[in-house]
Amino acid sequence: MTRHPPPDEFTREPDDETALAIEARGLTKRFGDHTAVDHLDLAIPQGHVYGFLGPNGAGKTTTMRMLTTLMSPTEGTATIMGTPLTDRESVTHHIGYLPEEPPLYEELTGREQLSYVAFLHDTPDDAAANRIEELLARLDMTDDADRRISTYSKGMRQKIGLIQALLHEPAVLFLDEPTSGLDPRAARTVLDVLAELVDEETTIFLSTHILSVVDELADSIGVLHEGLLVAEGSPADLKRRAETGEERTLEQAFLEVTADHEEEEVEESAEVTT
Amino acid sequence: MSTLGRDMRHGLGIAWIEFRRSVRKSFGTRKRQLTVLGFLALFSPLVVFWGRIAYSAGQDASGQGSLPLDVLGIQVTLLVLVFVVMGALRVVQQGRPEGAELLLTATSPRAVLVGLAIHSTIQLVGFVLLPTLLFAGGFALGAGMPSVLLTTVLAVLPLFTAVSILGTVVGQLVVLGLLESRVLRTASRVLGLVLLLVLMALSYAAMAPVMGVSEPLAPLAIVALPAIQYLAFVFVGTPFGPALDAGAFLVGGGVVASVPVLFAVAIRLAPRLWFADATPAGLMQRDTASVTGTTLAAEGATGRSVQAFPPRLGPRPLAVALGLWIRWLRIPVRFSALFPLVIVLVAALFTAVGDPSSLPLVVGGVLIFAGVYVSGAVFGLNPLGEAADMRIVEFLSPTTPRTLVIGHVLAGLLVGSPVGVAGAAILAAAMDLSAPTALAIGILTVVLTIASGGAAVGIGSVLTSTDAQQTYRGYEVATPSQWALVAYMVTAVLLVVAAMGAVLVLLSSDTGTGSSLFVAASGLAAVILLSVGYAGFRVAVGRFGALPYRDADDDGAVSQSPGADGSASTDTLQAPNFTRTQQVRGLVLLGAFVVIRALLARAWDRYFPGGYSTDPLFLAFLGGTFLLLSIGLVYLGFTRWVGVDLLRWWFDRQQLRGDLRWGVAGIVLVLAATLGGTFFLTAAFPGIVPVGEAGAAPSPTVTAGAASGFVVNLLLGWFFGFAIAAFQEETLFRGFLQGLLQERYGRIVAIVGQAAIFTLVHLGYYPVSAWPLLLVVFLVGIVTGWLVDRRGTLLSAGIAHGFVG
Repeated sequence: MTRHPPPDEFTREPDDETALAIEARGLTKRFGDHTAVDHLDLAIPQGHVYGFLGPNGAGKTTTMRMLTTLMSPTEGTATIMGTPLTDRESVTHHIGYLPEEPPLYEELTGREQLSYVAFLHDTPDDAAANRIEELLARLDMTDDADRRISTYSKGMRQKIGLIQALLHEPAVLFLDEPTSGLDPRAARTVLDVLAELVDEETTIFLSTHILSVVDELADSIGVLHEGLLVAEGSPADLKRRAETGEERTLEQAFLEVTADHEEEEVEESAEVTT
Repeated sequence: MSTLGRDMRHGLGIAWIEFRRSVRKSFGTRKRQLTVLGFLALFSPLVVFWGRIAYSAGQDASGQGSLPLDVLGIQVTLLVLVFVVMGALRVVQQGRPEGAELLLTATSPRAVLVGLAIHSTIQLVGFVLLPTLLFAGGFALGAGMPSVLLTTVLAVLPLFTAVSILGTVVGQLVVLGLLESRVLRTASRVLGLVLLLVLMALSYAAMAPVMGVSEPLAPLAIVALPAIQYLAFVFVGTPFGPALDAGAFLVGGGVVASVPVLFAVAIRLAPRLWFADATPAGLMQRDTASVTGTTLAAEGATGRSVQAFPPRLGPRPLAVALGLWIRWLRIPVRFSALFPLVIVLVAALFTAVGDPSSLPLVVGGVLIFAGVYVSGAVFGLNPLGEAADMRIVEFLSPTTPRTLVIGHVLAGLLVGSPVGVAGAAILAAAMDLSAPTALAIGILTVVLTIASGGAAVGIGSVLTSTDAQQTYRGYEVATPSQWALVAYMVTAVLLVVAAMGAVLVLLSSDTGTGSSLFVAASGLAAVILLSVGYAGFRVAVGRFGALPYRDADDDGAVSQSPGADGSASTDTLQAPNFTRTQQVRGLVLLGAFVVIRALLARAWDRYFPGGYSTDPLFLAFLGGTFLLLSIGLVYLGFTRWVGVDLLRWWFDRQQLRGDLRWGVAGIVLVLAATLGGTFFLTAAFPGIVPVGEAGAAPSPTVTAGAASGFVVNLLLGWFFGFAIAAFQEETLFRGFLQGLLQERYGRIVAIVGQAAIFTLVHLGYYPVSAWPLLLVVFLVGIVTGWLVDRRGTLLSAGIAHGFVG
């Protein structure tokens, strides 16, 4: 695997201005007889926030692992910023990933952990140092960054995990439950940072159970149920779908579409609004 | 007093559940069961060996009418010490018991302690009982006094119950000390590892008398007095023990009485620990909170120090290596893979004490082995398990797997190579070698460390272990799997023995160091060693570059382009996909094959010592072998029972001609390997004469004088070679076994692994004195394995094997 040349400065150059941030066609993952993800189609434009909902075991984490090249799909293709997943060297340049459990080395301090990730991405030392300090300040972690990660609370780990996903200024950010377990202040900080990132044209693919987060942040929502995308649209669209006919909550819409029916047809009308 | 009754009841229930949980943990999964079986199989020769020693000890004792009681007493004392310390360490490490939140809110601490103490006592006694039965049983049989077995068991029970609870109490006292004293906490960082090493040395010392080494232990006889008295109970009714006098009853009574007393102490101490404000681990982490990063702190504009991790020194792999050292030093438990080194050190110490003039040689040799072992053992044996989730971050970064693997190897070499070279220098000085020779040995040592590092990282990447181990400082550390340790130890020993053996042989053969033979042999050794290291390196790079979330259903071992058809198939050998049932059945057939062949080989030796002939009995024997093994076991077994298409495994119409040509090429390769290997070995080790290749795959040697006899021999040999040996072995080893290994571990590991097992299996056929032939068998296994990998069918390998076989 040859090395991808590191960027000279921290400016991100998308391969194609008009390319979709995330595009998936027929993405499928089977584990033996069990189909975890069933022919998933996605078309998410740049700068978009896509909320990915679904009950536990629906296939959200599997989808995310496929889209971040960590797992190979059984069928189907996908591109990130126009680059196919099979070209891992180029595509990982665009991806920042924060799994549900942030991957961290317990025996390092926060700063050392971030310095290590910068080293892995082969960023020049002074640029890395500045970037690290800037992000630490943005997430209120400057004072705690010199303590060992083993002493960190869940919220602090989440913040370090987010920072390390952002270090190389990815165009697309994949977040798996970024605010779960966080106290309201920490959650608010994270959400504010995410909103700022959106303003800077970062695309965010966000998987969560917390509907209020999705309601606040997402431009569109996809609901995954037993491997199938059963609903897709803006939060307003989905709320309107709730059968009582009045404007209802996202929770009701979610519960309806993920009820155990034999088949769920994806609504033709619920397309991703651009 | 009803609360005592209730607490006892709860305690027993807790003990029972803990017992069931530990049984499930140890034997619950298939993988665990296989590991246990594997270890039993691996160590069963040792068990037999020790049993024999105990037996002959018993015979000696009954012959002489006495036993070296002081040595036995010392051993018992040492073992008691070891187990007390181990029990204490376990308590210290554990902190609060598992499920403390549930247990301590549902019932009283006394009940919890009773339950846990009973459980750990049962574990300890059970653990100790097996070797006890082995030794006492062997001894009792040898001495002809079966009562010794019973009395030993009866004596062991109260003793080790007391030991278990004493260990708990000592551990509790240590934890209390850690909670109170910051000094102790700081000291404990190093103390823990030192204690572990001392423990291992003690265990070795305790077992040394079994190997006949007991003089160094003599000074401990005074301390062992109570143990010697206790032995009266073990040997009651026999002439061996000390008299059952007041002293003995004092000690025995003390042991029995200590149990409830220690219990009471433990119950008093438990709440102080479990309901303390903090755990020692938590306190220790807070102690170190102000001690942060390490090197190369640069002051940023804001005045904050920006620590570069890893230290950006030199090329990237070096930075990775230094980063690993920093991380490892913060959690010293990671160095526990060096434990086998302690055994070597202590063994060497015992040797040197016995013969002081050999000290420099011993030191030199030990340092060489230590250097080789450290090069791989510390950083290489579980690199992916240690990285854990960080593997994702590393995988998604531009840093290549090559860089990371080189970094792991380099980290080991940073210490291993200098230590090894130091040892080589001492050895060279001790043996009074000339400067060029010493240099050659030094270079060879460095090559050895490189090979060792590469092999280790290859083994460790394949045999990854994610079982996290909680250390006493609260960190979770993934230690190497037992299999990785064992495989690496064997590899390291083989590498060192092979290299050093070759060197010593050459030195003692009086050839000048400038001679071409010496240079050629050293060069060859270096090439072989480096290729072993490189093979391991390549395997590791493959593993590091593999998808983190790869599951068994993915075809092949590496990422695939999406859209590939995922159909399972055992029709081809290129990417076989065995179901669980097929795997098990295939392994059963393989095992049956090995056993039957070994029996047939014995039968051949006994009834047909003349080799091939036209004796009708012999022909019937051959025919029977053909029917039983080739037709029955291999053909019917694999086509009907396992369910594979053997024809497709062997023949592919489209490449028939190519296969035939490669078969011929294979004949040449196998001949070259066979003849070359035999020649080299008999030249290098003239004392070893390949004593008759009697067994299942003899070469067509002429045993009858007549020319017709020669032809008969040749024809029979070929028939046997093709239809029996080649067909069976290619199908089983290259077809099935290599395919199985390839699915799970990739192609290189499959070829080498199958050749290794192929060689091991042949241990049953060749007499021990013909062991160099095993190297030849190994080479043949590699060649045929490579042929099968290249061609995708068994035909070429079968031709090559059958012709020469």
